[in-house]
Amino acid sequence: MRQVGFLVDVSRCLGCRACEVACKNYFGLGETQRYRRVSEVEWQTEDGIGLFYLSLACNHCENPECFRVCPNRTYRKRRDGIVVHDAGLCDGCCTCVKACPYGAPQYDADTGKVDKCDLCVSRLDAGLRPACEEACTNDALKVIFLDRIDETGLLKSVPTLPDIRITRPSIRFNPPVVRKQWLSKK
Amino acid sequence: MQSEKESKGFSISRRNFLKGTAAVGTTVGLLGVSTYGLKWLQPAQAQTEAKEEPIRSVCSPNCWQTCNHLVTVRDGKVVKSAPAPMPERTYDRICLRGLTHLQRVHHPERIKYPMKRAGERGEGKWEKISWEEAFNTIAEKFSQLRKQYGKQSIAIVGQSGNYGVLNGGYAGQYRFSGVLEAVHATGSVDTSLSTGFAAPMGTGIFDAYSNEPLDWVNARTIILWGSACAETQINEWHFIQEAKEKGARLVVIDPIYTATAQKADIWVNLRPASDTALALGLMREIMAQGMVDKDFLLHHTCAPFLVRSDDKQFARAEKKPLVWDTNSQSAKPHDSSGIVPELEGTHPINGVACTTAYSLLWDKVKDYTPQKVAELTEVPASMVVEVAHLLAANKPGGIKFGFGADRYHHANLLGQAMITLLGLTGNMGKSGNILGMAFYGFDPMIYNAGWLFPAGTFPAVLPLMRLQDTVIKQDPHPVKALYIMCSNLLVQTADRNKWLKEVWPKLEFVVAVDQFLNNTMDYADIILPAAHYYETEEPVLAGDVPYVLYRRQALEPLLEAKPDWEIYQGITTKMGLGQYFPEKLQASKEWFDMPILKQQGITFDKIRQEQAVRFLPNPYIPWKDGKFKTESGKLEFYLEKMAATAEELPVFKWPLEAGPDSKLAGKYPFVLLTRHEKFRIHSQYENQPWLRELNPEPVADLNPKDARAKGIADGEMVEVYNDRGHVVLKCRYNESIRPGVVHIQQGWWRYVAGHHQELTHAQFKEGIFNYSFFDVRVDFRKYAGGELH
Repeated sequence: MRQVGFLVDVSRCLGCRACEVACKNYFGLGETQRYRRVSEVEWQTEDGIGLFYLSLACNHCENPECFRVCPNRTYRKRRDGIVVHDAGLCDGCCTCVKACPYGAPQYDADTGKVDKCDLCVSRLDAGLRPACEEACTNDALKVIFLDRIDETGLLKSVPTLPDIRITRPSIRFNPPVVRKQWLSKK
Repeated sequence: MQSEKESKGFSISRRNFLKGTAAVGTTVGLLGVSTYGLKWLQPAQAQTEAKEEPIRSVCSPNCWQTCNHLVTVRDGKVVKSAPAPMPERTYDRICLRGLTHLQRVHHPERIKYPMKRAGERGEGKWEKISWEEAFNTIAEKFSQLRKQYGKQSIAIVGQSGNYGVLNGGYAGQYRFSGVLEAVHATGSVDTSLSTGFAAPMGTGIFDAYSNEPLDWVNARTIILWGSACAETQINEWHFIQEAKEKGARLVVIDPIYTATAQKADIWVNLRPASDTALALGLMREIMAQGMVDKDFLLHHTCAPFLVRSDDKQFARAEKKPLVWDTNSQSAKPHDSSGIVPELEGTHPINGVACTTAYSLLWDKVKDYTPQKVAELTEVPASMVVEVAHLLAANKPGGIKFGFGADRYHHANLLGQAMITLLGLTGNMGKSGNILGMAFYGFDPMIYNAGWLFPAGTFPAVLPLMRLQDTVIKQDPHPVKALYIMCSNLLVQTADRNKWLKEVWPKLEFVVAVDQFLNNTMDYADIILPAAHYYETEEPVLAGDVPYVLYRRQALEPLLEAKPDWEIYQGITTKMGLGQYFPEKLQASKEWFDMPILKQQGITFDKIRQEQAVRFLPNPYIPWKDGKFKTESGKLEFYLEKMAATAEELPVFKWPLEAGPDSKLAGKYPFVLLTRHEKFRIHSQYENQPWLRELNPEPVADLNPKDARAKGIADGEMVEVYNDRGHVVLKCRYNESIRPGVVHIQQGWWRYVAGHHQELTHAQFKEGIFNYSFFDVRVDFRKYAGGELH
């Protein structure tokens, strides 16, 4: 099975949010929808506070919950593994919004419908890179074919990512670089 | 369908805007509701119309990254901005701010037409006028003032809002003020550190003195000093990242744990304003341990020059500085052949004791032991040693400064200390070196004097921070009128209350040109709508890319906006000086008529076609021959002309307010830092909804310990104040802020009450004229509303 997904290098990510804004730019999104979201992850370690940035969009899961729960059958998984949503069929019931562990489907208060990242399929189909990857200032975000890459050394999850066992998200991470944590909450 | 979507527009929360002054309310009412929407773009359409030809423009505010954008325009609307391919693809770039330009171009609050004041200044009442009336009013008033008080009764005020040659703050604006022979008030920001840094090299302060970023990947040690590069110059970061991945060590010197500091191998968390003490400590360690690059010092710096003990100037023969030749045991001109100069020592010459510059430097730094530096800076002594050893032994390397360290009174001494450090370690003229900052726009472009001053008349250039006193005292120029462009003056300069209470009442006439009704526009008499970057065609001064840049017009100026160049045309034509402002393509063509470009075959036609053309060698590595632009051709870190103030060599002095020795330290225990963050460039990008979503409102970042000590909870309103003024805003607990520091993101237009620029002061160091925005003491308290002091 083909499966397109994202490879995120959390150590390279600056949290600059160019990906997030590029996504909004490309999809023309208003205030209520963020298909891609960057969060600052902070956790206490023995040495102090650890920090990295986590950029997440739709993870185009192997077992997408959105697909399973939608009463209107608005979700479809393409042969390349990309999960697409037909907003035309959506009645805005938000069942998928509640079901997705990663917050990918986003409700638009203006249209009363839900939509989400489609991995820029129309750009991919035209041989272009997704808007987020193109805008990444530091090569921290890449689109990968999970069925083709060697996953040695890659992580399937990082701290704060919700449990991956249910939906099997198509996202991988370069391991965070461990460096001295300077801040202490003591 | 499309129009329905348009009519909805985007829904930025006005909550934050409305908290400001009453003038804001009027503003919103006057400009009406959105007529331009943002949601016309559907993803399917974006690719099905593949034949669309995006237009190449340049985003050119003062992050100076000058990113080239491919702008897609559909039915007269910008629908997408994307990075444009650069000649070296490693320079392809765009950032989160640049991606929001379509929201700025089509923003419902853009100033739609020229307006004149209809109420009191600051009241926010405006009346629409035609361009014809605007030009007539300005020309008549300017002419009357010129006749009555002289040509220098008009001050053209500019800052860094645009790097465009015709419409920006660095070329066309000089031409305008030169033709009018007006006062040209500019600068005073980012100029202190670079003054000290550039003087030993003999260059201008913003000259092309550093290796270009694509060469930084070869660095082994990178020191980011007061630079939040990962946020402010995001597109330079990947070069540093690449160097790190190749094994370079990254040191970040910053009192705030920024996103940049998070990436550091060593975060030097120093006490604000103690930077120069740290620099002297690094020098001392390097010199004490004998880790200097002796060969570089002897042959490419003033280290062996003999300095007279009486007048502190170099001992000279036939105007050439002398060195002590150890072969002949005599003083010889520094460039004599066959000599072996002595690095340390004192010798009498004609009865005057003369000591080498190197020995004098040692005298200045020898007391700055790691222990003493640790006391002054609160940086562990071991860390001082570690950083010094990295810079001296893990070569090549360099220092990239940001302007955080520039914001204190004696920052020029820090700049001088940095370049001396780089000279001591021989980290110059080599691949992998970084010298301060990559900046290629002004040198040599800006020196096209024939273009800048076509009438043979010149402006009276005034450091911007002297403008307040100039207007108040009417000395040295009888300034009665301001023409403000490329600047939100009341947000980007210090001591706002002085502007409003003492300067403004003396002004008969204020013209302000911008795209939005910002704080400065509130107090203008005539406001003119400026065109956006995408709406103009012109050459653009490059920032940190080694190219000549040219932007094409992506769309006609919306509404009644005009490019600044056309505004000059309108005003000067009415004053009988219109011949100096030809049609824009002609003016652009004339700009490129300079030797440096002609020699390389870079013609106007070529640049207009290609839009980004390299004009520096690839890779650009200056100083390879070890010859500097000083009189002696050597790095003169000993500045003879500074001997009068005993600053010929770098020395450490606490600044005016921020140091622990300040007499204000008891009354105002906190230092206010107003740093640049990723969501804006200075006061630009204030109202783009996509950015406001991420950065909704101004906050005072406080260390939780400091806030708790005053019983202030996270999210409560606080008043930050000092004797000059106050600002009211929300408190945010933030562990990355040092105890003893209050941080407010710079550039915000409006607060619940007051403004952060009420807290800052405009005191300058004689001869330096640089705003010390961080050299400010404040205190804060819980804000309960009601009457404010």
